[in-house]
Amino acid sequence: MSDNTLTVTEVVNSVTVTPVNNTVTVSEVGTQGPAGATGATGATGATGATGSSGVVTVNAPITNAGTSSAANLSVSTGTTSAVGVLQLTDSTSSTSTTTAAAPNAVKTAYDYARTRTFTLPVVPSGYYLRSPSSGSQGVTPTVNRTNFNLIYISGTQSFDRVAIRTGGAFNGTASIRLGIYNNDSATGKPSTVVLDAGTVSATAANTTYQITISQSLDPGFYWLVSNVQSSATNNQLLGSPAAATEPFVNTPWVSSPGNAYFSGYGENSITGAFATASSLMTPTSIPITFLRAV
Amino acid sequence: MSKLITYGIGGYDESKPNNNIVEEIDIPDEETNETI
Repeated sequence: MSDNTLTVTEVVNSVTVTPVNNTVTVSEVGTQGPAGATGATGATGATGATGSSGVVTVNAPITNAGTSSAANLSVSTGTTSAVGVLQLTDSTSSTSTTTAAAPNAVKTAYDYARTRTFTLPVVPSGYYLRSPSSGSQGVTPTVNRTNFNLIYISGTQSFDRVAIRTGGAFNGTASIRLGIYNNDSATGKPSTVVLDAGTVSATAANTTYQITISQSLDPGFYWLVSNVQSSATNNQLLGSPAAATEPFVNTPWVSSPGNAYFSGYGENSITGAFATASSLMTPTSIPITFLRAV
Repeated sequence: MSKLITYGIGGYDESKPNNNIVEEIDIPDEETNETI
């Protein structure tokens, strides 16, 4: 010891006590000791918040009549105004609005409907279709008048000729335009052009003049048309006689009972190509236009 | 006996041979109730 100083010296750590400054200086920190043992379990936490209701929420048509502890689900009965479950039925006479037809009921109705369907035969290949009338005779059509003959196509069918025939008194040369029109189902009258086949140049009596066409028609009513666009000396063509009622159900209708008839429609002052029908009149007799089936 | 005269598609056409008549045949008269 000297100068009132105590010095402790170890190999690794040293402690120096200096009486002069009343301080103890640890010149170096010792190595950290091992981790202590795990502490004791903490205290129980506070009670949590109350949970939501146990009632099952459902949407229509499902309903729940149960409680929060026991669900009781069902499906509502359907009606014409609400979605829901329906009972199937085989009935074909029920007027219920809360049951539904089973496939068996649909088949029963379908089979019955098939036995009641009104059908006409298609035109045999190579045969000509024409507007029906109670007879035929020579008629002299007005020049530049389009004459409309009503026909009915019972099934989709293709046609390859449209034709007209001159009468025994025909002489001279006539240009006759032939074609097909659609029927307006709302009015029962000719409407738009299906086909303007062009013209034939008729020069002989008792002769059929026809134009080659390629025309498919779907089922329905159509109008076959002819129009003498340049006159022969005698324009006589094969036609429907006056007062020859066309035997299509519902085609002749009259404002009052009487000796009325319906041979077809006409439209005057038509020159050149056919266009949508507009100012129709009812001629007393009209030439017959023919259509040949493929 | 009567005639059947057939035009090609489009009907009478002066620019085509024979005015576009493609067939001209005689056909026998049928027994009908037509009055001509």
